Amino acid sequence: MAQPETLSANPRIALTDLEAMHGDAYSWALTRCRYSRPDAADLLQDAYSRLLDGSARFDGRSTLRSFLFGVIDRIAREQRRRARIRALLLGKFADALAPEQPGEPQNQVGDAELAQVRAALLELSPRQRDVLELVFYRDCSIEAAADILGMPVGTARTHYQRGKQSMATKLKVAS
Amino acid sequence: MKDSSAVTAAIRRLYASAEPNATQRPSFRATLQAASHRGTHQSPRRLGWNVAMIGGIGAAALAILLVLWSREPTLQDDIQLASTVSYDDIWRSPSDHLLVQAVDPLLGSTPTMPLTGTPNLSLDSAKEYL
Repeated sequence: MAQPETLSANPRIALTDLEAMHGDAYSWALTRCRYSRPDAADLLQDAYSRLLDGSARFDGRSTLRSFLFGVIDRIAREQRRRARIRALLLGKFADALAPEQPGEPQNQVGDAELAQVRAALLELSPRQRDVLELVFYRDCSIEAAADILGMPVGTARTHYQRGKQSMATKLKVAS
Repeated sequence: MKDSSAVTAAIRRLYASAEPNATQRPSFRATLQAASHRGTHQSPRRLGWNVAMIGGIGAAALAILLVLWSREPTLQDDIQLASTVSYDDIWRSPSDHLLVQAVDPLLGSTPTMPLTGTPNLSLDSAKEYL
């Protein structure tokens, strides 16, 4: 039986597995870039580039999906950090270069209920929003979400509990 | 909308409504190819940033070297120099002037202290004075 083709610098990653989660990875990259498609494509290229050259190495301790999501999130945070430094150095001239903060879904649906959910999500901290997105929408466990976001499981659990509670309260008040 | 399942459903609906369809996302092969190209060719923006960083670090290092190079020896330097050599060695060797340099900064303020040709001038007394 033929072995699946793997990345030379990352022998545990089969190309077919990577391809299978490409759509999911792009969707995750989009939320890291406030739904800017060019930025998301650039972010995903950067992530794949690190898998190809081995600077991000998959050791099999987590699932490939968690690993890939973690790499994407880390690169996005690096880019935001660099953008902040550029903003400090260049002032207002850096605005055009700076990628935006990770955002909430920019839904075009004129649904009042979705607008309420969106408004409630916007009031959460970015990390609470990330944890809720991973757990509720991307079907990750809290442990996997912690792994992806590079935080202790206890912290992720706290973000999850507080975010969920806050959402429930806001949506109850709004409804 | 009170329980967590309602919150879950609402969040799922919201994110799903913003999900790109298959035609809106770049293909896997194209992304991988671009990533592979990026590995061998730095993007212009990154290249510019790296060149600027290396240039900045080089300029700062050069400036520090120039400042150190052009700095006049201070009294502290002379004290350190005097403390690293022994009086006897200096006195017998052709590098006699080292001791002269070591105590030279004192001469302006202490004309009574002899400079050369005075074997009585000990290193300890010079240092004690300093």
